[in-house]
Amino acid sequence: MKFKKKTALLLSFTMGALLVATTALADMTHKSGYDQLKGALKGTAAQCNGKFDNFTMDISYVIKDNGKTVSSSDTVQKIDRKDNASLSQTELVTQDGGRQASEHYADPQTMIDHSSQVSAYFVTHFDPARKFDVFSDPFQAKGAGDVERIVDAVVGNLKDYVVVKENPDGSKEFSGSLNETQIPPLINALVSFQAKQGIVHSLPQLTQDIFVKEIKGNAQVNRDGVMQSLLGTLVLSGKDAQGQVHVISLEVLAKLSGINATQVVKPDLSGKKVQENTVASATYKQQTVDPKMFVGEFKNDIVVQKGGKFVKAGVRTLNITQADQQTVSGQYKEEYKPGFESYATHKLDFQFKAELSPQGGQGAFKFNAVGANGNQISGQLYFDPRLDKINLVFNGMGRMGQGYDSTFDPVFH
Amino acid sequence: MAVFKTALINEVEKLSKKKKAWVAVILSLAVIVVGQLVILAVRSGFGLRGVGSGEFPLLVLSLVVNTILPLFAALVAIDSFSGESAQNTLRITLTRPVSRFKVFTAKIGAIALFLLGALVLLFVFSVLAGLLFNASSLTWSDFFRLVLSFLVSLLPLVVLALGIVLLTNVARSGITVFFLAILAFLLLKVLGLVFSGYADLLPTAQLDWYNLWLADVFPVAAVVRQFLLMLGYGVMFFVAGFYLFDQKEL
Repeated sequence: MKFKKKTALLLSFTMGALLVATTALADMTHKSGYDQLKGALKGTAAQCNGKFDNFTMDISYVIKDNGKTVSSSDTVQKIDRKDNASLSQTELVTQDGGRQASEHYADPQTMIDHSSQVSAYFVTHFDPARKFDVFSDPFQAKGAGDVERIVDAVVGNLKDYVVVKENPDGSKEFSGSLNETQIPPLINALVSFQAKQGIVHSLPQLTQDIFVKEIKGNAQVNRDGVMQSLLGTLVLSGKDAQGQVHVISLEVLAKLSGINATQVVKPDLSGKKVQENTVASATYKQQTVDPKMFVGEFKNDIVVQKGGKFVKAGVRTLNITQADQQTVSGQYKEEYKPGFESYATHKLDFQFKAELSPQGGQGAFKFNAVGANGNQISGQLYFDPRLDKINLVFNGMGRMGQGYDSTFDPVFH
Repeated sequence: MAVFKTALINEVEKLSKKKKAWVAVILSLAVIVVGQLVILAVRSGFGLRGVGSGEFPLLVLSLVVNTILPLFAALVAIDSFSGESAQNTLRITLTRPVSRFKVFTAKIGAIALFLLGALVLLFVFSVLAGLLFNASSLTWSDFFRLVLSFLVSLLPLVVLALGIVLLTNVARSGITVFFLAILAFLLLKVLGLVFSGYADLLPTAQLDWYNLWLADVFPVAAVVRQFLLMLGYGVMFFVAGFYLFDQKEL
């Protein structure tokens, strides 16, 4: 009897273990719709960054308020990795039907900007040529792995909401939708909050009862694993200040086409009004800062609002007495004009010795100092390599009160 | 069967006499009250709707299923096994003419009933609160979905309780088991976060599997897989737990 019981227990346990093991195996080999979609996105990005010489991306969005289009935009971006050039053309339609077109061309030597509101073409030449990557894989970016893990955790058991339809020719169609009951309440609140903060100006200002009504999307992936189109829709509902309900939908469509059949043509500027400038290099890091150049007096005005006007209340003076690549010393003081003493609640006057801040990069120095009234002051100095200006930022800017200006201009005698 | 029934009634009665049962009831109600207050604050403060009446119970479920319900499972499991061992009352139960298997099963049954009771309580009060304080958006199909979500959540909780029962039969002291259980729970959750690709396989991942039951296109394969995983884990925990319980010298 004893033996039989043990065998039964052992058998049951083994069966349980086998069940877990086989299901786990099945689970690992089976990829949920979400995982397949993620794989397709990654694969497409990797191919765009490695395999394809050139391609065209078309990204457009439409925002509708109760079914009426309030804003839409279409950006066609042509990318040529071989020649390292890109051309993007955007057309924006505003609520009143106004159209704005803009164009942006970039290669290592040149950058051309044009928009329909301004007749001139702005051309920037880079000499020597700048370091320029026409396309970079977002999944290879720093921190992309962490973002992915967080997204995975948030998605959790919603992974299986992505439905995959496999076609006989090997292409796949993904689709998925979440309605208000299916969206986790926390995500709904976060998205609603974001939407409330960042809503486009032409939209009615939603003030209450904002919630995400629906999120849906679909995607087409061809048999080579390239995502050709991705459509996402977000439907928000809310009331404006008058209590009227608005259903606002945002549709974003991204398409990938013209693989190895896209030509990036530099805009023809002959006969056009052109404004040119030349930049030694677009990457500022290559420019070296010589702190010695900044020895001297720098000032800016203390400006306050009084009687509905901006009024000069005094002067901030930053006097750099010594500067080299490692240290900078000097003095900072604020002087208020007679009659403006009441504004001088945060008045500062101190000497400092700042040291090169390794995190701040070139031209950034940090300091700790003691003010005239004995309080601790710390902050950073930034020397602008392109301009003879100094930025002085204090830690705990709140202490400085509103209206503190961190940019100091040189005083030429 | 009659013997098992008596044993089960006995276990349920013991459980209901405990203060812990009342603590669970009060905690459940507190979650609902606090949840509703937060929603009201968000609504008036940020202008967000937060939830409609149909979603409030799901919000409550999503919160409790990963927090207080596992805690209840741990409390009653520990009380039913470690607690009785410590107070030497387990000896009284075991001297009755009931086999150890039946006692063990009756205890598990009582724990499952307790968890079901907690779910029912949470369901009833969250639906009531949802209807009273939120813009009405509850339809019959939503109601059915809600019932389903709460019901299916029982299974992963019972599996979790079985895991904790196994722990109570490994370690003697109730406090040790309690901390071990919490540590294991957190560890599994963290592992799920780190190895997000394999998170589904952990016994804590199924706690919010009710989400699967809410999908428009019912994900049969995923539901079956998760069910089989839970079944497998459940059987393993049950058998191992019973083996140790059976071997126990009093």
